Amino acid sequence: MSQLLDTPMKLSLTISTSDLQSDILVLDARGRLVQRGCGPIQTFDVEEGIYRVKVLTGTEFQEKSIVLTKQPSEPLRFGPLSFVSSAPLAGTSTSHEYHVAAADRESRNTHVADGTGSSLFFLVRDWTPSTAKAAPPRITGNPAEGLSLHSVSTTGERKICDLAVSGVSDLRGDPWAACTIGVVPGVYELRLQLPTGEVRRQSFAASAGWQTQSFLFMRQYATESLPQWRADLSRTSVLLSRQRGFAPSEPLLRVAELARVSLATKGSGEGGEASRPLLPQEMRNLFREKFSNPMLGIYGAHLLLLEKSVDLALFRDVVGNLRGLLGSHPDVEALALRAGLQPQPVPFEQPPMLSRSWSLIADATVERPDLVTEFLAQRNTGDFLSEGPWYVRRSPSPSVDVAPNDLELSDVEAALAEDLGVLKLIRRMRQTQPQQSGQTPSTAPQPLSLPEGFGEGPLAKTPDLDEAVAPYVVDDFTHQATPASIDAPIDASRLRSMVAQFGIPSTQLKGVLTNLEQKLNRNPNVPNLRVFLK
Amino acid sequence: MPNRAIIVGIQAYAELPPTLQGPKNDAKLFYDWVTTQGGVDGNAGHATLMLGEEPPPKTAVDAKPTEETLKYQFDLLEDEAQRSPNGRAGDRLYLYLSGHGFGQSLSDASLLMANATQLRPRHHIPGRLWADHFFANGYFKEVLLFLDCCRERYGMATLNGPGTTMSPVPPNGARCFYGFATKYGKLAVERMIDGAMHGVFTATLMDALNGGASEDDGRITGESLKAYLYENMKGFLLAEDLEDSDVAKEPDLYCEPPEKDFVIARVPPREFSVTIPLPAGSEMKARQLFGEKGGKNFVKIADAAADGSLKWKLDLMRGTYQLLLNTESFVVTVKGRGAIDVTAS
Repeated sequence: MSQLLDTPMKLSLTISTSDLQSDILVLDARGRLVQRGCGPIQTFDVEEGIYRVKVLTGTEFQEKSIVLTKQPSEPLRFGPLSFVSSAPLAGTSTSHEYHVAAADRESRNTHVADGTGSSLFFLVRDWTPSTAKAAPPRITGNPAEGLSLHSVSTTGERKICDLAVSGVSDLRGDPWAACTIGVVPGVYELRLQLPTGEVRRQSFAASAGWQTQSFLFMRQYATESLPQWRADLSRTSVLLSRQRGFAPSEPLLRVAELARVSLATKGSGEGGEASRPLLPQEMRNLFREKFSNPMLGIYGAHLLLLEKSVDLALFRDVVGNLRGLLGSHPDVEALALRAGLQPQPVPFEQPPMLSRSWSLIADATVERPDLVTEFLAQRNTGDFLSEGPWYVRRSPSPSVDVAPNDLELSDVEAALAEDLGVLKLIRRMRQTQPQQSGQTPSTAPQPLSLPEGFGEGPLAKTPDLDEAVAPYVVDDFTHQATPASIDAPIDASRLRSMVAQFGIPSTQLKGVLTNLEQKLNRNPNVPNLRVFLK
Repeated sequence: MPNRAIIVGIQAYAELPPTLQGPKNDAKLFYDWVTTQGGVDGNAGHATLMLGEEPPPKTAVDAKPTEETLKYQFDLLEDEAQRSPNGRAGDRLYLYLSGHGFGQSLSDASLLMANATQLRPRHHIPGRLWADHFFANGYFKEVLLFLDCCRERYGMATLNGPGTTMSPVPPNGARCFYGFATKYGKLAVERMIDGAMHGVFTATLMDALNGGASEDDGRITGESLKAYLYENMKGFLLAEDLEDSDVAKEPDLYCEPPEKDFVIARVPPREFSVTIPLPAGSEMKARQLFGEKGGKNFVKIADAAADGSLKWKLDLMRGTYQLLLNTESFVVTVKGRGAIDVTAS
């Protein structure tokens, strides 16, 4: 009885938001998180007290304080919030009317007719807040400079167009460039040549009867002289439209764009709350009603997979619906690998658009080594980047990345050597072997040279390893020692971890391991490596 | 077992502009804190402070500390844990890293080491991967990571990690707190604070650890530290920073639950002398202030009769309070540095 009397009275606090995907955080008087939930309406039972309610929409948030001493008669309401988006949608904070008009107009024109059945629309634009207009303007060239579209297949490679040459642009205000390309359905590669010569490649799927609309901001890229502005692949927004033409006020596009932001900003177990659903109930209901916006479906399916407890029935429904809407699409087939739907996905010849889709494909290659065709594997020999949510490959600049000598380790080989304990053993050998000029062996760390004038506080000494181990170049390991041998048994579980960490399909990864083994074993001054693939 | 700390501050890079001005100050502040309030015995050599050279050498290949320097320190801790009968190298590990950096994933950020260049970002240390390594393998009971660097998306795979053979489940009772200066893709900034240049994240962190984040009983917990950092970092930003969508307004924080049970330090709570501006016309109204105190959610903190002025001076802990002027209600928010907001309720 006394326990009941001591129990603080609970009051119901109802919060309403304008967007389905808004996160609602209820904080107490000292800012501690009390409860959290999703929009558009949520009721929390809380004790009497003072609360601050934060509503996060996209990357922006609103906040209100409330003193709760009696049951409130009305919900605490939050209006729509403008958020940052490279798609000039209504209700976003980074759109000019002339950008919206350009997207609307130019997505209905065809600037390059390469085929029929589908089309790709690209809008590249700068955006600066009205308070930060720079004089002179920071972008003087065509915003689409360096961007080109390519068709890449087993039968050959063909450049379709340079976007800056074939499209239209306007350098007034915040500049923009647009280009619509009619294509036959398939997967196309957008290439961005950076001022350094490096090329980044991103895939875009063009589905039959759909227009794929891609919106890109711009960013600075470092060069040896002044930084230069080019398209920013990491913040691309991709939307699909059944009818040609951009519809800035279409409500579902806003929902889809917010889902993309969620995918780009939330990971599994984000914020230490792995069990928290990433997809609001209202969106689940939307998916159950046979949604018609495929990008929303693709983003949503990935968000479902990030939840700790996957709603497999809903996930299968979404993937099945996506197959019906889009037909053959690498991102949908990547999701189908997890859905266990028939027919099983056939080996992938084209990369997907999203990096999470690529992770699903790479993971599945542990069980199905043939899932990535030799053609696709050959196209993915450069660095793998995760540019925001997108899967972007990097072709190195020939002027910068000189061919390594035959014993030098590539970045991935060096990472694997660290993983397998090789580099750690080299560091240890460095510390225990005779130094140059007949010095006696020492296990005592050598002092790190410290900046002049810094002497406060007792400092632990640190070995001067920089002269001892040139990172990733093991052939300068000139001091004679008896290199140990490292045996590295790799079972399916460890292989899966490596595939996940490096994003490399299992067959390619095994090839990298073999190369690493050979390089190390050819070098008499470093430990030998024996990889045992179980 | 002893607590350990590895603290790195690199502010001048040979080939990676611009030169920073905060990391050395920040690393020294953190070093001072861990060796006084943080439970690390600096005299026993349990705290390692690594600063970049000033001025840096002409070429990055000669610059220190490098990722190999830091990995060697990690090796030493790992070896010590593996030699120890209980498998641990200490009770608690602090990792503090400050300098240029980038974000390679949603969950991690990397400090660019002194030998990094724009074209050689491979010279980096991924903070969380290493913190997780020490945490999940049980080499320490508690691991705290603070990374004050940018988290721009770089075209770079994660290298220099501890490997993929990590135990997926940390030992029972293990705790961790990871604090990044920014969310993924955002920039961290440094500003002039108290007459010296500091990263705004570290400045807020030090305020928090010096009593700003203390509960009434003096405990700084994972929960109270998160609350303080989320609320107060933006207080050090300039107006132009607040308008810049690339600049982080909040840090990115992770604490192994239950957050309130992780006691990071015990420091007397800090009270701020504040003057609450009262709305015009309330000179002759009695004043009452309600809020959290002594573990109770909603109690009267103070009251005063009308004194004919429009100011009410009080010493208050950070938090949100209800101000009653007769029956008229307002919300008063006291922030970390004593700044206050008063809004109608």
